[in-house]
Amino acid sequence: MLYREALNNAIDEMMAADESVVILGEDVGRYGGSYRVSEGLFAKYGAKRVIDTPIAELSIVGNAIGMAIAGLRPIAEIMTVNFSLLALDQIINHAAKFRYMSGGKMTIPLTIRMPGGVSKQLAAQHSESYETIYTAIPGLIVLAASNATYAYYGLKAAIALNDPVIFLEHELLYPMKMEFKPQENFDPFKAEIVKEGKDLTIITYLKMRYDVLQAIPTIEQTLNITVEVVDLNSLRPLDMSTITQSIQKTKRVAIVEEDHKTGGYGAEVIARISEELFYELDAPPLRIAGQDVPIPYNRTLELASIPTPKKIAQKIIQWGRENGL
Amino acid sequence: MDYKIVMPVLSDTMQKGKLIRWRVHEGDRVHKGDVIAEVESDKAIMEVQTFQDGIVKKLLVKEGEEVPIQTPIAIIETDTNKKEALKPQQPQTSISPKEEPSTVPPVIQELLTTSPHPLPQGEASAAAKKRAAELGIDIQKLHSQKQLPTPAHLHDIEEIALKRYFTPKALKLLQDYNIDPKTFRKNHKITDQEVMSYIKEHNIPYSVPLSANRKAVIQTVEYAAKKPIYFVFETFVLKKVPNYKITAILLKKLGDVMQKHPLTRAKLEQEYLKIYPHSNISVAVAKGEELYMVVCKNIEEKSLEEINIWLQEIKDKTYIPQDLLGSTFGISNLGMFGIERFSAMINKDDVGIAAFGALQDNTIAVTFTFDHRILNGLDAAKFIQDCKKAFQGEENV
Amino acid sequence: MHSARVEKFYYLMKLGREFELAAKEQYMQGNIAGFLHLDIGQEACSVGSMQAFDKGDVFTHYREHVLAIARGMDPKLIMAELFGKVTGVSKGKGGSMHLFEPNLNFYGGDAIVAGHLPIAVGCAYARKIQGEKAGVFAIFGDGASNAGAFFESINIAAAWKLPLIFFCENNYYAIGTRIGWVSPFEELYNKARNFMPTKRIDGMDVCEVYKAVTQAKEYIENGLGPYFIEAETYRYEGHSMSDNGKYRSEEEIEIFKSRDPIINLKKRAIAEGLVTPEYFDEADQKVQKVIQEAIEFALNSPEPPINELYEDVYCKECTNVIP
Repeated sequence: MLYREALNNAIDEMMAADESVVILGEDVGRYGGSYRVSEGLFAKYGAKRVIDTPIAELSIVGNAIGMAIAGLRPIAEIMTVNFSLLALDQIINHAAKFRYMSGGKMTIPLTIRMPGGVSKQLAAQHSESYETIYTAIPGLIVLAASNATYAYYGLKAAIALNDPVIFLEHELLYPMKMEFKPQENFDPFKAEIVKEGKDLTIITYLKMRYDVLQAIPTIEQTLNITVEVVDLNSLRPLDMSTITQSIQKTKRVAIVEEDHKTGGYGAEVIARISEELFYELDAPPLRIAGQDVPIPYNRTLELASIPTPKKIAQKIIQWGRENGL
Repeated sequence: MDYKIVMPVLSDTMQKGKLIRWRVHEGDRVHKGDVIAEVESDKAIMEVQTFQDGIVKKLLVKEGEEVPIQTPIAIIETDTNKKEALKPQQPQTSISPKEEPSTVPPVIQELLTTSPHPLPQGEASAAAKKRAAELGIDIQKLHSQKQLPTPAHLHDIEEIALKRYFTPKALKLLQDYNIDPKTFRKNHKITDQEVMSYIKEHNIPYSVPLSANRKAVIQTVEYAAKKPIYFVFETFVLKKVPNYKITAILLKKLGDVMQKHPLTRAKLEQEYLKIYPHSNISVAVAKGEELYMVVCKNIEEKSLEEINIWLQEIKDKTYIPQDLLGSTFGISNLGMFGIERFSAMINKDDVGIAAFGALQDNTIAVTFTFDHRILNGLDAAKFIQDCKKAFQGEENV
Repeated sequence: MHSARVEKFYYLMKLGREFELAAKEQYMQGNIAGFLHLDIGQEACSVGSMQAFDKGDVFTHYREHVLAIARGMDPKLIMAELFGKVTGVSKGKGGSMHLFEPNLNFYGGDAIVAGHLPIAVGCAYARKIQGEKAGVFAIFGDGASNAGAFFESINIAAAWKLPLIFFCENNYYAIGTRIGWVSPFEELYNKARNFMPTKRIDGMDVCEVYKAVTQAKEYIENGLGPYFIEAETYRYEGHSMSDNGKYRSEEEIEIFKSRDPIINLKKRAIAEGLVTPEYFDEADQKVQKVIQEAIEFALNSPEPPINELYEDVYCKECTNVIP
């Protein structure tokens, strides 16, 4: 199943099951979605429920909040995470806070989907990862779908939740063919142990999952160890229990993220680990993240700005050797 | 001049494109900007234009076909007069887009070279310190005695702890029997006797890892056990020949008889019985703990002398795969252990095997195991009859 | 105007004004803190609009105490909210600027200037596709009419013909910035003129506000699209308690005070014989009693327990998994 098909199926099924589910955003309707995620939905559910909006992100999210107040379950699509900055006021000042500042009277069942990350030479204004912003906001739930299974079940769960959810996708994943594993008792807030190992825990999410998996054979063979890979799935809340179990076993942790290192999401994860698991650690935690520069256009520079399988392997091997592995 | 139109890259994520519809036919005249085809990217259906005037010479891709990006999909023959005019201004057109990447600018090399990590500060990791405290190990003292590396990690502490509480022999036992050191209360020095009595008390097995050869033997015998086999029991006359091994005599006699019975030189392969010209017999050879089925080849061409020497040599040889392949029959001899009679498992896809017992009063008990798919009872009887004759007729040797 | 309606107007405007004065007093006594934006002078807009727009959804700015009262919210719950007490309409967690009551379809108190307009647009869209007759009412000040969210909202509401009243209270000042300094004109209906029908009215006259909103309500209920009302009005006080309002001349303030919505309504009602003078005395007494009760209620209410801090961040299902 293609990643984008998994998303499409999730939306389609939720729209079929519940008339109050609507989708809105730029080009989501007649055009079929700029990444074809909403393909076919306009024909099936009509203009009332598949809403083409103007290029006005503030209004896309603001309108969606109003719809949610009126009893609908809107799914707002923002074409890229980068454009969501135009809607930050609506997301943070309104969606995230209404329940709290109304003393629990307001409910905003809203899902905001947005793809991010470095795709291919889209340059600085179309390549960022801003999970660090959204995960810092109380009142928001932040999910990150790295695979078709989570895309499908996670998005369905997000739509069903009675709180605003930032649903992060990655542009490079849309056309990828992926294995779909049917789930029972799916928990959207649970991290996935992608691969078991006993000497090192690598925490990752979104597209970096695949870069990490590519780096693993080199790391394992060179250091003669086995590596455990944890895909977070849910960034807020963070599944500390899975992380804790893994680190109690491996005693070492690295996080691989595509966003910038300074103030990046990995900083939060490592901070939590340092606070809660300090005496479990047999080595200082390692962060592998993007460079602290805007994403450049040139392909060589672009690849130099983010982690790649080769760089991941190199850094972990070097770090492992310096830290008793 | 040919102008190639390629499957365009229409999105940052596009890898392949599907040709939905041709808007032109071969032979059509096209002008710069004309739409020539519709292709489907991962995002949408898009139009493909020509950026040169000319005549459609060839359409290279069928409608509905999917091709990787940058694959030529059509060739336009451009007008000659225009080509001349354009040529000097477009020297790049002859250079393929997949040129060598330009050298990385110095600023990036700076980014790429990971500055060497400074070694972590501190005497031990957090986990190592916690464990040391639990075990009452003084890290600073051990550092001053140079018994611990800096920084110390968890496994360094565990090692110190083990040395502190277990004698070296006791540690070896823990390793050999795969026992968790936590099993023992660490309030005194633990000796190998204490560990051994623990092992006996709990009947803990000593684990021997399977060798590659043993794994192969297991596979072979499991395979053999599934074959439709039957046994024939016989007693042959055999006189010992001085200076020759009994196995050498057995090999020579059987090998010669096999030449008269093609099915004993056969292998079953799918729809065919493949009959080989040579008498190749696998012989069970014990080497240390391991058992090998080494193949004695071309026996009918070898003298008893040569076979005797071969048997000597293989004892000390390190086998290569060829030494263990190519047999159609097998021999196992347990006579030297005084075993009177036994039966053997057929080796790999051999036709059968002859198991020889001990030589007693110039007779030797033999049990044949045959694969009925290749050799039936009648064939076997004839083969054994000839064997019997050969064993009686001493003059051959 | 019907005499009973005039009586109601008077009572609510008087209640509103006395509530604001009491709030100001309580603020000065330290019982209320934070930002407190008083509606004194603008009561006609709050009461006239809420009396006309009695069904449908209301999205408001942060100067919304009197709007909430006119919508039917109990002054006790508002005062308790201002005091930050757990008995307040938002459990003491919203304060003056955030008075939400979904039971009254009152989504009041958005403290981001123009931030509530896109939300009102979305709600109007939902009401339209849900087939609801009653539309949506969004009230905002002159300052909001300069924000991007305002322009996006009039554009979308007009493009989709949404049942939405844009009610602009033009009191001429965004805190201390005169609208004419930062807008090409002071008559703000010009901003919406090409998108929808517009009307500029006297926002100091409760009857005129009532009539205009009633007319707009009929228009949107007939599915004709959004409607824009600009009501000229004036706040007697500063922007909030921390603002003395001295950027305005005494003369200007006096001119508007001579148009006081409460005094003028009373004068006219007596002159036209619609309401007897005795009614006003009775109403004033009732108002005093209600305000007194509200203050006592707020004073005697408990503080929120400390665990309230962690409540209402997420829904129940999510709270179980989010620490």
